[in-house]
Amino acid sequence: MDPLPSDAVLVGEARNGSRNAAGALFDRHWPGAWRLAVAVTGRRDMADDVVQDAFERAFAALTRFDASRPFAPWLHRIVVNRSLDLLRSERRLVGLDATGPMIAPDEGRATAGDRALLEAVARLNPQRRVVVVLRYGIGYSPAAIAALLELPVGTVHSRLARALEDLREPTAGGFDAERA
Amino acid sequence: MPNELENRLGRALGSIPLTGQSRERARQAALDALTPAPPSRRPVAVKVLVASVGAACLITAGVALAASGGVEFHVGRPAPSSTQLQPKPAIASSPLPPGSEAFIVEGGGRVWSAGAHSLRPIAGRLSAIAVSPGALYELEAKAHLLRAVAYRSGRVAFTHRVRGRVIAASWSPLPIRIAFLEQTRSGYVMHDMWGTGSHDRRGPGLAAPVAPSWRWDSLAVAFVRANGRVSILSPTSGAVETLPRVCSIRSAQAIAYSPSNGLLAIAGDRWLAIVDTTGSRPLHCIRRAAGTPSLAWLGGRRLAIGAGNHLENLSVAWSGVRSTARTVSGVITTLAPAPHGHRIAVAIDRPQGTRVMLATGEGLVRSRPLFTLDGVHGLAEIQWR
Repeated sequence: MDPLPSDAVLVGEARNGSRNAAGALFDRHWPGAWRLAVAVTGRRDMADDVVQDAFERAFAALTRFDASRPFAPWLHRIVVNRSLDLLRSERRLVGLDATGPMIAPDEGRATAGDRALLEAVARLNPQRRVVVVLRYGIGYSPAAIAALLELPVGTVHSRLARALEDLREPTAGGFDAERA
Repeated sequence: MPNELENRLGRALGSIPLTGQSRERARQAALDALTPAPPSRRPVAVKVLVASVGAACLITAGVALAASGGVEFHVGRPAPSSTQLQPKPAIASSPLPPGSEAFIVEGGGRVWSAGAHSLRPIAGRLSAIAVSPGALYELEAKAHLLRAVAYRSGRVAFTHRVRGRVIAASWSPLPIRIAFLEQTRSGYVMHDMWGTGSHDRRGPGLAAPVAPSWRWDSLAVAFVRANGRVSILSPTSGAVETLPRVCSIRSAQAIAYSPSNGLLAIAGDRWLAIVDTTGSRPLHCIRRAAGTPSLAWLGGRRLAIGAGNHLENLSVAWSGVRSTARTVSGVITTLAPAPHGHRIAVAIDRPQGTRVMLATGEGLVRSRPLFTLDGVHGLAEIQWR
């Protein structure tokens, strides 16, 4: 059985116009990108738009992408930037219909504590929410987050620390309740 | 070493189910974006020359219009859906200002010229028609052929052939570019070409049958993708930006750029969005009346929207939108603002035919009939000249 081609191979073929390779790249990275978008924006409908837009931008700019670098962080960076742009725009909406549901975990797998925790994540300010999602949702190291967001590593650490502080307080009841 | 909170964060964030509603649509859009148009190789000197010629044309046109003092507009039906012949339109009343003229495309694409006292055929069947800024040229689309004709002399400035059928065309405000929609076997395709009829370039992916709209500076044209989203094409760089969905609008039905800034109006099924495409994109979302929407800006901050029997006038500010609405007798099929705002032509479909009104004043509350086209229904376009 042939091993799956690497991202670099797929990127190279996609740059040469292979729709199959681009489709494989999309299929491989859509789930992570969508989870990232929904966790950062807190809304599924917005995440749909963000991810579609991010992939369109990424594929349109594929010829300018440095193929020696990994594809996922580049895509995730676009997703994060588009999410934050959209959140900034939405804050200025006038008369917009009701905001959609905030981050909702899988009902079957998630506990009440998980749901409370995700609600608390959704209430974090966007900068802190982004680093939390990248760190604990996607699994990037602080150094990788720093490179992805073009921030000093120290800033990433401090945002993470403050976000965890914010999260501890509202979820304390949930922990206690679960332990009990 | 991760503490319990960090472990729980990992678990909770990993439990978000994959329920994206638009994965396949996103996939198609992404693959469409994979094959961007070839980069422009137009020499800078040529661009400057064309821009200069365009500017000269605009200035000349402005002088000519100022000298004529006439009011002219064009009524068109760019995408006739039926070849069935309709009765010859008759002007029931024609209080057009002296010296003014209207062009009418009706039914199966026949074109008529209406003046204060006459109605005469001026061309064969057309699938689209567009008037250049300053009314120097008419761009006529006859199925596969685009032809620019000098308005005063009748000289053919250029002809351009396409494979499919041109269903809508639009000159940029500085008449150096033309955007048009081509209907092909696989769908609609947006094109951008020079105002000289050369350098025709296909837009990305497939488009929706919604007329494109130019930004005031002619450096961007908005169009609707086949998936209903609005994209903005920069003709000079070839770059395409797709706007995020706003105001619950899944599929844009009409779009219109403000004539003097980057505000873009997007009408969806029940919502109207006003988006700032140049800066941080503040938005206004307004519920609109039901019916096929038609948009027209009256200056940079006043927008009219017609839908059903509702004509709404919106004053757009950063802080919000002030709206006044009135109803008309019949169904509004199209709106056309005068070049310098303040008044607007409104085509209203009524049982006996189409009545074209002129609405003026703050809130568009004053109106007077211009003429009635007996037996003509469903006009889709009016252009002032």
